[in-house]
Order: sequence, then structure tokens, then C-alpha cells
Amino acid sequence: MQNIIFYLARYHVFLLFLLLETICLTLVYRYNHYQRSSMLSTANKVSGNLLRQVQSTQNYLHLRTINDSLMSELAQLRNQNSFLQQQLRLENEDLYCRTHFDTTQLGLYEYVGASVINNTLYRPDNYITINKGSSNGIAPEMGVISNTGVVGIVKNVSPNFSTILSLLHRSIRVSAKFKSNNFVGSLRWDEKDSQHMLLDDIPKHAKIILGDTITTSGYSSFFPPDVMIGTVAEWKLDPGSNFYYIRIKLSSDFNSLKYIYAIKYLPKQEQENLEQKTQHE
Amino acid sequence: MNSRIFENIFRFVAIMFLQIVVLNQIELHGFVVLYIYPLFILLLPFETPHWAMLFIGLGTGLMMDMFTNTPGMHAAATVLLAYCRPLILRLNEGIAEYEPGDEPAIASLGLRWFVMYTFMGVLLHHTFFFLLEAYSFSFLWRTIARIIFSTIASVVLMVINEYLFRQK
Repeated sequence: MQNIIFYLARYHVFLLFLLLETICLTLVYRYNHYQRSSMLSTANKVSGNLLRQVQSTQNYLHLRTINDSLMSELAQLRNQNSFLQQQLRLENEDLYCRTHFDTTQLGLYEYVGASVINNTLYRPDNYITINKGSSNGIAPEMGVISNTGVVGIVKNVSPNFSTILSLLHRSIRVSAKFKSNNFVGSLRWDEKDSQHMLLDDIPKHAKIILGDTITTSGYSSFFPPDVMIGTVAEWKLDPGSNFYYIRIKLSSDFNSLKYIYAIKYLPKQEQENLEQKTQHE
Repeated sequence: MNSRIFENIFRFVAIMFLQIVVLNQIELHGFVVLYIYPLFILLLPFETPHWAMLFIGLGTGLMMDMFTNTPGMHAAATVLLAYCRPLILRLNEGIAEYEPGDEPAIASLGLRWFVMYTFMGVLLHHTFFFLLEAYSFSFLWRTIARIIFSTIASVVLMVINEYLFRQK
């Protein structure tokens, strides 16, 4: 007994050191595996508010680029509007069209707009913080896009803020396809730079041209189909391999990300339940 | 005594503010990440009790973690730094003589001592932090480059900071 007390007294600093390190490493482990400790993240109220202040100052400096991005967004909406008007006219003119018009995609997705208040690019795991949270209808695992392309997936939410796993994150996988021939692969980040990602699982009988457009496949419940991801920047086929090595140039510029949309897939629960049920049978 | 505590609290706020509001927003192409906050641990008075230093390190690290989405990583690295500080001080004893009441500063102990001392501390902190961040050894060379470049950049920053704000 006396010996124990003697050791405790002699090594108390070292023991305390071990205890504190254990706490820290447990936090690291828990966060990576259970994704729970949103308290110690930028979704926290204190840090969120401070970062918002910083961001609002930066916004003044970026007004011109923000204007540009709003203009292009407006243009895109106008295009869409004219396209939809044309569709509507065709509908009215020709009843036959209605039977070919895909009504199942209507009203399946709901969009929530938000602005980015914190964004990292050069870590092995990058996160984005936005100024909307659960009180605005954002929930974990919603897909996030910008007007230029896919951005990431919502990870944690607090009432007024959310953190997003950026595409530039080691654990992210997005189901993607070639717009031209519908070959589907899996998109991941190789940590090299913020402009490029790799597309895996494209078999060697697929035909690839530099500059081919890559979009979301719509197989997962995160993103609607045909959202722009990027274009093929480089590809090669190693001898003996059955799959291409493909490098994608992302269409979203993560450097200048300001506004994003979180996507709510309304029948998500239904789809997942059904898929799970099928797997368990 | 009280004025020194007050001075350290003020330094904590100033350094954390600089770190979070300015340095965390700067990203120099991945290889160089600027961390000045370990300086706060390095500049604590010599007679700070060892156990208290561990807790201060934990608090500082957790605060950093809160702003960078890295729960535990900064805290683990900073606690390690706080634990090893007496050892680093002893290793540098040959360069300058410590006298009671001295502060770890260029003004009292000289530039050479300060650079060696911060370099050792920051290298230890960055090595542990970046390895933990990489979580594996699959990008070992990349991680080593990050450690070296970031350590040099952080030490330069700390010396500049020292000359700007603490020259008497």
C-alpha cells in the first residue's frame, strides 16, 4: 500500500499525462468512428458565431465575385425557365408528349440555400461550415451542391449551423457516371489538390474521351441524377488492369465557394428501408 | 505574481485570436500550415507547475480543435508538448543560463536559445499532430514534408511575433 502511494506521488505528473492523452486520443477515435462530438466542431455556437463574423468581413471584400456568381446563377435559372416554358408549350400542344414525360422525378427533391462561413482545402480531411442548420430543415446525410457542381455531404447539424464533408475528404465516395454512355464508377479524393478527384471502377471496355462530362448517377439517395461533377482531365489503362485510372477536373471551384444548396430527397427513408429489407432477406 | 498571471491570460487571448482569425484562414498549398498557438505553452513562466501545464495544454488544444473540426488532435499534440517542455528546457540549458524570475524570451536568453527551444518544441508538436492527422503512414513522405515546412514556417512566425510584441 505504501509503495503504491509512493509511486503515485513520484509519478503523478506522468500518470496525469497518460490520462489526458488517453482522453484526447479517445476524442480523436470517437470522432472518426461515431461522428458524434459536434460540440467540438465548427457547428458549435461559439465558434460558429465567431467564424460568421470573420466571414461577413470577408464578404465585403468578395462582393464582386459574389455578384458574378449570382449573375451566372440567375442566367442558369433563366435558361431553365425558358426550357421549362418550352416543355410546357409542347405539353399543351401535343397530348402525346405527356405519356413520354417522366413525372416520377417531379417534386422528389427540395433545395435549401445557405452561405459558406468556413472552408478548408488542403487538409487530408476537409470540412465546410454553413450558416443554416436543423431549424432550416437541414439534416445529416443530405447532399450538397453549388451552382457549378457537387460539393459534399452534410455531416453534423446544430440549430443554426451545419458542417459538411467536402468532396475533398478521404472517406467520401460519390457514385458518378459518364453522361455520354452511363458507365457508373465511384469518385474519391487522392489528397493531391483541390481541383481533381479520381474515378474508380470504370471497366476497360468503356470508351473514354478527354473532356467527357461526369455527373452524379442518382443511385445513392444523396444527389439527384445528372448533377454536374466535372470533366475527364487524364486517363490511362495500366497493362493487366481491368479498370481505368481516371482523373477528373472538378467543375466546382472549392477556392471560391460562397453559396451552396443542401438537397433533401423526400422519399429517402422509403428507399433506404426498402433497400435494407431486400438485403436482409 | 498576479500581474504575470494576467499577462499570460492576455497573451493566451491574443495568440488564439491571431491563430483563429488570421492564420487558420491562410492555406499555403497544403505543405505549410501555420500554427503559432504552441508558443503560448512555450512562453509560460519557468516555475509553472508541471501538472498545471498539462491542463493548460489540454485547454489550449481543445480550443483549437473546436475551430478546426479536429476533436482531440490539437489537444493530444499540445498535452505532449506541455509534458515534454521541462525536458526541452533541460536540453537547451547549455546555450543560456536560466536565472530565477527569467522568462523564456529573446530579450533575456538570446535569439539562438529561443530559436533552438521553439524549434524543438514545435517540431515535437507538429510531428505528433501531422502523424495523427494523416492517421496512417500511407503518405509518409508527404506528411514528413508537411512537418518540416510547417515547423520552419511556425518558428519563423514565432520569432517575428517575439520581435514585434515583446521587445523591451
